[in-house]
This record gives sequence, structure tokens and C-alpha cells, in this order.
Amino acid sequence: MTADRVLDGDAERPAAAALRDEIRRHRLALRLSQPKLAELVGYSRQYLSLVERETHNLPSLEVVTALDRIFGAGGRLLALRERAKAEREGKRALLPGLGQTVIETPAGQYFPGSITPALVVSACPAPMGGRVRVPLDREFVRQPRRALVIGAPAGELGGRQFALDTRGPRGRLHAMSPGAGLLIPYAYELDDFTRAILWAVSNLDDALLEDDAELDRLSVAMASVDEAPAVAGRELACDLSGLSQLWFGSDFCVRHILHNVRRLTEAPALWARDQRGEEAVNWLLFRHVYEYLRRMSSLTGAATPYRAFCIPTVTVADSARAERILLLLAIALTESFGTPVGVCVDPEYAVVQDFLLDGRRRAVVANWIRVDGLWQVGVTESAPDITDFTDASDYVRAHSVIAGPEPYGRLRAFADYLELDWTWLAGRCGDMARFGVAGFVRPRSRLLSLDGLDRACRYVADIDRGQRVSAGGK
Amino acid sequence: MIRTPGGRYFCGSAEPVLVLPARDDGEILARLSKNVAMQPFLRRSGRGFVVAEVPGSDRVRHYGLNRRRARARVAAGPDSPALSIPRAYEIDDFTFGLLWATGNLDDALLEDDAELASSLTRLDPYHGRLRSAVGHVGNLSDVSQLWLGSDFCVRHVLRNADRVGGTTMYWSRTQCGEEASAWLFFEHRFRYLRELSESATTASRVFCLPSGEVTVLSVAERVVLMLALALSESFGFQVQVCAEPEYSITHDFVLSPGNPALITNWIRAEGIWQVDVTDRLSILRELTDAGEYAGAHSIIAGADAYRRLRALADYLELDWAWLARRCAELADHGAAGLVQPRSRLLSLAGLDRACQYLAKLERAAH
Repeated sequence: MTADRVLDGDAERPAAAALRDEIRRHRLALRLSQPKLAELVGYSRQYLSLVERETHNLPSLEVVTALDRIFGAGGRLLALRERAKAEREGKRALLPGLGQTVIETPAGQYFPGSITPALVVSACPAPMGGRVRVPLDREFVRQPRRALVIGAPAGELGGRQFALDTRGPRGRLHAMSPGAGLLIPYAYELDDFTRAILWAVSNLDDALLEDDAELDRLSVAMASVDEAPAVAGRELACDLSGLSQLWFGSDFCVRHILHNVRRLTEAPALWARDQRGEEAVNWLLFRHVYEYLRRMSSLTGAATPYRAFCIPTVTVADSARAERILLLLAIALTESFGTPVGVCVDPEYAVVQDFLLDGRRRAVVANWIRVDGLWQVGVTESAPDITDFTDASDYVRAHSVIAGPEPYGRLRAFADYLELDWTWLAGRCGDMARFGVAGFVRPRSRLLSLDGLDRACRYVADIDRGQRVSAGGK
Repeated sequence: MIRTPGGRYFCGSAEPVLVLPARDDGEILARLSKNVAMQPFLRRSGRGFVVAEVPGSDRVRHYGLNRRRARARVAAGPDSPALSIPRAYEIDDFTFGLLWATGNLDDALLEDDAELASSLTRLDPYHGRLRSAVGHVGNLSDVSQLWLGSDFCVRHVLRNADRVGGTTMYWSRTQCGEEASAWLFFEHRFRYLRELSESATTASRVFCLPSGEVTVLSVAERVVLMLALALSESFGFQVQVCAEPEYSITHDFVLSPGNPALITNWIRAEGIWQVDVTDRLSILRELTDAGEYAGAHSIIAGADAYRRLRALADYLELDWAWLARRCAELADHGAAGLVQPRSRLLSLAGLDRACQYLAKLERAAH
């Protein structure tokens, strides 16, 4: 089984071919000629004819978006294109040859992309099972940097690769006897799941370390929440990268929220603006956000809060698989703290700011994602604000695309919405929960923590197991 | 790539470089136009240098600007056909030492950032004790252990600073450029020097630098050592150099007449840092003897800082005129355009101050 086959359990054929066939099938079903279709979507005949032909390039995102709309395919063509893109990138990058290489992760809206040095070595199955064994290259491991040792076994495991962060073995080098090898769990197989994690950790880690001195300077300047302004301009942090600004804005808002929410009167309704994996990684990896979730869960006590997200279809279609995996894990993390999640898809709600509505009388507002110029926090008791927030929250409760009485149903529905294979994802979460993310890749920055990611993986695996046990019992 | 070597603590560093053709019209101007590699290079994170290459009649000269500064300059004048780089940033033995020290320290401290944060928490219970010994905290590189040990010992001295007074002698085990880089670049060491200088009346600082240890050092490493000692002088510590190898094993201490001695052990401590406040007579006698010997036999004895530092440059076989000129150039422009550590645990305040001080002494002498 190859890595991309694991990810595309429902697709036996390459997605690029499936996309071509689907476009042709839809066109013929509508009895449209290629020239006619070209006219409808506003592209040249020649270009449209290429879309159905096997070529080196995939059709552009714009043309597939237009075709998806005209055919009423509900995002399926976009998803196929995304899968084809992932397959192509995967085939280029997933299986590097033996020797020293680098694992690159792509750029995104906030992420600049990252490069991780790697050493690919031959591997064999370890006697204890569930792991491969690779020889230890002391010189490579000793270098103080983020790096991966990648085991490439032959035989039954051929075509799969397993990666290990060198940081773990680096600390044990002095104790390792000559001839000792490294053991890499199968859980650390390089596939879309681990690549998503590597993408998030490496991009955040690089950015926060790059700005370490500047972040420290700003944090000291804004140390006292009492003295800090309720509005902070980005010019404060203009020397920071986009990701560091995201961290700083998040830290600023979280401190304000905790400062303003000493106690909650009733079950609060919360709203989060995160739409994409890049935004949602803050839940999974920012140390202060994990602490915030813990504090909030202790504040709410017996009352059940509710957190709403607005994630429109078009955003999902435009998100890479890695982003969607991270988004699902972020929502799983929220659920793991006893907060049911609702998702609305109406793009109109994308502009709603982050809020915490307490007892329909008072709300704490915090804006830091997709805001230009200012991070804003504040407390409002204004009736129009409270009405807007109440209505938005009620709307999501009534129209959530992942509505369900139990976390399992909601997360499964969310996986379906994100076009992720739940069985595969729950399996990978279970693998990772057993061994922990840190062995695969460990952030170096003190501002990041793997507690959230580990907890989310464990939670997905647990609720999936619970569901299977309960189904088996019936 | 600019590669710097490893050593006792350092692992060696590699800085990505973008080389641009340049000319010297009184100022160094690197050509930007039509350079397709420039923007992608500037956008990348991590340390890196734009290097201007200027052909000359005798040799090619190189001038460096760190990626952050280059990015800011290009952003400020996106249509400018050339990038101006200060002459002070010529890459020679002087600046190479600075690149070597900051690159290696920065990489190592950032690599251990999370581990250092948790190690600091684990060390909390030991602060406040008069005597403690702490060994191997966490999974840290040699540089991070040096930083953590230094931090541990700095806190010990500052916490107990009111136990010493009057004419005070500080003894340091620092011998090589790697250890000296702690004085020059660790942010807590700069604060430590400043705080002590505000409280002490008369203070001297002894370094034990046997010639056998010094002659094996590269010019770049000797530059770092020189600047670290100049930094101490800048804070009013009269620097003395003891060249007897027998004193190499003496740990750091702080001694003043009639007071207990503060002992700190963070350099070449083999993973165990010890701090103590002692009034045991045998130890006080031993430390007093060492201090008196060093004071009487300092090989850079001189009536003022200028003479002492000139003698130190001679001892380190550094050309004083060249050194003073390079310090003055760097002081004019600041080091931040050349080297800019990313770690909050490092600071350029010490380097800038040492350069300003040395340049000022030279100016005053003429």
C-alpha cells in the first residue's frame, strides 16, 4: 500500500484521470459540446479541450471552480482537483531517494513554507514489531537543528517511509552503544497526516524562533493586561512575520478574554473565526491557547458551552488536505474539552467576530484573525451587539452541518464535510496517540506545545473506538 | 554559504549567502537590478547574508548585510538599483569572529528554546540557597548548558552582591573566544555587568589567559576575547590578566576584604554548576593569594584602560590600530546590520558598547 493510496482509499485510479473523466461525464450528461462549454465558462475552446486530455498540467483552479458551478457538482470536481494536486506533489516529494535530502512544506496564506533537512536510510522491520530499525548516523543526529531520519524499508513495507525527529536520539547519543540503531514507529509514516503535522509545526516553529527577540520585547511591553490597551495596532508588531503576528494577536486576545472572564454566569456561546487549517493550528499548537482551553473548561463547570465556526464550502474546496486535517483536529480538541461544536457554511457569517456570549447579557469580543490593522478586544453589553451574537449563535445551532447529539456524530459529519476519510483519519490518530507527536517532530520554541495535538489525536481515536465498541455491543 | 567552525562548545554554523556584484564609489553599492534571486532570498526566514563582492587591485573584498536589514532596506526603496552596505561590514577577521560567535550561539539557544524554558523552571528551587550544585539539567547542547550555567551563576552573584563591598575582585575562568562570547552576547551577562558597575566602588576583574591557550586561538576568536575584556573595562572593571597556567583551574569567584567569598562555577564545569557563599578561612586564603598574585603579575598592567587594552592586544597578537579602526567603524553603524541574533537570550548591547568604548579610548589617546 502506498502513502497516497492510503489517503485515497475510495479512489483506485489517479485523481487527475478521475477529474478528466468526471468533467467529460458531466459535459456529455448536459449534452454540451466542448466549444459550447468553453463559451459558458468563458475560456477558449483550445483550453477546454485540454482539460479533458491527459497533459502534464492540471486544469487551473479557476476553470475547475467554474465547471463545478456550471455542472452543479457541489465541490466534487474541486475536491478531485485538490486530490490530484496532492498526488502530484506527493509523488514528487513523498519518496526521496537514499541519502541526505530536505523535506519541503509548501507556503500558504500565513505559512512561508519550510525546509527540514532529512537523511533517508535503508530500514528493516524491528523485532519488537510496529517499528522499523535504521542505522544511527551520529554526525547527522548531532547537529543542533530540526532534522528527520527517514527509514525506507524494502520488502513488505516497500514504498513506505517512516520519519523520526533527531532531537530525541540526540539527547541519548552518549548512552547509545556502538552499533545501536534507531527505532521508528509505523505511526510516524510519512503520509498526508504526518505531513500536515510537519507543515504546521515547522512553519510555526521557524517563524516564532525567527522573531524570538522581537516577540519578547513586545510581550514585555504589553505584560500587564490591566495597562494594555483594548485595541492594539499591528504597527506595534510590524517587524514580525505574519505567523508571529498571528501568535501575538492570539496571545493578546487570550489574555484579555481570561482577564474579563473571571466567572461565567451561564453556559456561554462562543464564536471562532478560524476557517482554514493555517488559522486553526493556533488551537493545536500555541501553548497559551491550550492553557486558555483548560482554564475555560474549568470556568464553565457543569454548564455546557457551545462553540460555533463558520466554514463556507468554498473555503473547504480551496483548502489543501493538510489544512483540512488540521482543522478537523482543532475542532476535535475543542470537543475534547466538553464544548460541542457547530459549523455553519453560509459565507455571510464569515465576518462575525470572535465572541464569548455570557448569559445573553454580556459578551467579550476579541478580533485577531483576518483583521487588518487592529486587534480588538472588549466587553459589550450593548443590546444590538448581544442580539447579533445571540442570533448568530442560534442560527448555527439550528443549521449546523455537523449537528448531532454526540461528539462522534459531529466529528464524523465534519470529516465528511471536509472530504476526509474518517476511518483512515481515526486510525492515524490512534497510531499517533500511542507514540506521541514529539517523536515525529518536536517544536523547539517554548511558545508552542504538542499537548493540544496529542490530546486531539487521543480524543479522535477514543471516540472512534468507543463508537465501534458500542456498535459491536449492539 | 558562510561556514564557521565548531569548537569546544560550538557545533559550527552555516549562513546562506546571496552574493551580489558591487562597486566601491566611496560607498559600497551592490547591484540589485535584474537580480531574480533577490526577492526569494529576502523572503526566506532564518539567518542569511547579502554579500557585496567588490573586485580590487589586490584582492576581492566582501561586505555583508544580514537578511533582515537587507529586507528592510529593499522594502524601503523597492525601485533602487543598488543596495548600499556600510564599509564597516566588511567580512574580515574582525567581523568573521562576530559571525562565528553569534551564529553558533543563536542556533544552539533557539534549538533548545523549549528545553531551556523548562530547565529554568526546574532550577527555580535552587535559587535563594547560599550553596547548591546542579548537574545536567535536561537534554541541552553545550552552548545551552553554558548559557544556563551562566544564568544560574549570575543570579547567585547578584542575589548576594550585598555580601561583598569595598575593593572587589572578580575572577573569571574565561579563556577562549567561545567562553568570551558569553560575556559579549548573553543578555543576562550585560545586565550583570551593568548592575555590578552601579554598586561596586573599586573593582577589578582577573582573567587567566596562559599563552599556551591563547596562541592556539584563531584571529577571529582572539578578537572576540579582546572585545569581551574591553567590555569589562567599559563598565569600570580594571582588567588584569594572569598568564600562569596553574591558575586555569581556579573557578570564578568574587572577593572583597573582610567579606565572605562568592564562588560560582559555570565554565568548563563538566555539567555541574556550583555556587557558594563561603567564609571558610582556608578557601579565603587560597582565593586571596590567587588574587594578589594576579594583581601583582598582570601581564597587561597599566595605569589606565587604554594602556591595559593596548597591552592586551599585543599579548593577543592583534594589530591595535586595525582593531581600533574596525571598532570605530562598527560603532558608527551598529552591529545590528551585520549580525542580528534572533534569540531573546542574546543581545548586541555588549558588542556595541565594547566597540564604542575601544574607539573612544583610541580617539582620546590621540
